[in-house]
Amino acid sequence: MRIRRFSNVIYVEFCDSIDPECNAKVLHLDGALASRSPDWLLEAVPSYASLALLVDTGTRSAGAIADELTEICSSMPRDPQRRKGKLHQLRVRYGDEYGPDLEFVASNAGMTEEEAIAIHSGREYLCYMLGFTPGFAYLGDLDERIAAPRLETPRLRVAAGSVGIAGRQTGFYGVESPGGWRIIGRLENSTFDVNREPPSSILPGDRVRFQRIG
Amino acid sequence: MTVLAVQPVAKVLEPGPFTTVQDSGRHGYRRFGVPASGALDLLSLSAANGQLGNKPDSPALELFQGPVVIEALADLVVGHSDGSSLVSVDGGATQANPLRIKGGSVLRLEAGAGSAILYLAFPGGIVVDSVMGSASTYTRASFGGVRGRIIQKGDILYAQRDVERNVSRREMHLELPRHHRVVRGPHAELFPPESLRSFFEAEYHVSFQSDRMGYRLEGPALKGFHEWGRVLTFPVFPGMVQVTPDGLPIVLMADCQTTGGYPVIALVLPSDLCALARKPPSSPVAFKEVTEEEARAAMVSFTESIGFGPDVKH
Repeated sequence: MRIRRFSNVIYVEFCDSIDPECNAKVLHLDGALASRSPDWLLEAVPSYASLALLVDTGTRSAGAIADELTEICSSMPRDPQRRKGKLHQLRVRYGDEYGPDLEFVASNAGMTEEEAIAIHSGREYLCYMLGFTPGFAYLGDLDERIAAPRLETPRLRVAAGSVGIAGRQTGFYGVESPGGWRIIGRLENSTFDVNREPPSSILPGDRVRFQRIG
Repeated sequence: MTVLAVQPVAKVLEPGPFTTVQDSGRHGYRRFGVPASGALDLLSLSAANGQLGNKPDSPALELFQGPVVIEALADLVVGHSDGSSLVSVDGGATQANPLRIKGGSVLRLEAGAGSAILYLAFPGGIVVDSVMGSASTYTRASFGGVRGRIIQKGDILYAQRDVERNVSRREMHLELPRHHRVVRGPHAELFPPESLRSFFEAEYHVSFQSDRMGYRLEGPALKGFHEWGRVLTFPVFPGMVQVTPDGLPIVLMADCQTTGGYPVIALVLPSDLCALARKPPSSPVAFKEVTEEEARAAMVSFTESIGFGPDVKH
């Protein structure tokens, strides 16, 4: 574990890769801080391998904050139990106008679209993090047989709920936005709603299974 | 304090190129991918509100360059953020700030030499529906402010008509400093020393392709970073200076994405980010490295001068 501070931002970095065990540590620290809610903490943002903290440097010195973080982490189990996150069954319309890149993903993988869909919807994914744009969920790990590179030129508009592939990641867009992921389908129901608290129904640590419809 | 009824106070006749309602931002939702948004220049937001005795982080109009023209729907007092801006009422130039306007009069506001962005504050703050605890407009996902979009011709703005409060009038004579203070960012050491040195010594210019998400800078390309595509997606914040594969920096602003995969070479201090936000396209920009201790002292004095914690829920 490494703690690095840059002005009012602190990163607690656990590893440098996309790995469920490492991500579990990030989420564990996030949970521990949420229940303590120290007065110096303004906002915590979990990601794949690090927890970013926006801190009030006027309240506490950087050294004192680092000491507190080290103390919390040292009392963490070596391999924190992965929180058995909620399992979401998300219905997806694959292909056609909903998934303009399904054809590419399948031919890139040397298989039929049907086979690619079966592989994509055939396993359970972990939601590592939300980020980029509101409600965008980063899921993994994708079966490497259908891994695909990002678009060379990102689309200016990707519809909300679009399900995409980028390398060995899969995920979906919470709101309409520009985007460079290969779009293979679209969720039937949006997971993001600004009038709901929390606004995303999928949270880091949750599990996702895609269910083909249509 | 007596609660005054909210009423329509102004009608927009000319909306300007990119005018939005902004407050101090939306805090606590980055974990859901929701950017903070909020005023690009918190110091000027606070100053405009201060002219009226509003809470310093009250929702106000943020306008780029202008001109913005509004018609007062009732006798009204407004405050703005920059002494150099060009203000007229019914065609007559005025320097008054706060400014009393008769119902039916027309106010025109345009950026002056001191700042490319301006804030126009209304008594008690502009009233819009709060989304995730903030009035700030985030146009990319169409929420906050007036229906999630930029202000349009014909929009009606709601506020309180007139409130007697303790005003904290500060004459704002904004300057556009050449240098902005930074600390080194998480990937600074991955750039070769000569490349890092060139970043601190170079003079950049604000690109015309700049917006509330980020100010792109034009200038010498930074060379020698070899980890493209290897930076694992990580949380980023306004003020961070990303370097894209063309070697050019982008300073992330209030509407920036919550996570990124480009290396971050430096972080602009929040106070100095306000000054950077004021710079119109093609203005010169340079950076000056300071220590973490100086950054901390600057943060304390910045919080004092704006009158609220910049990243704190209110």
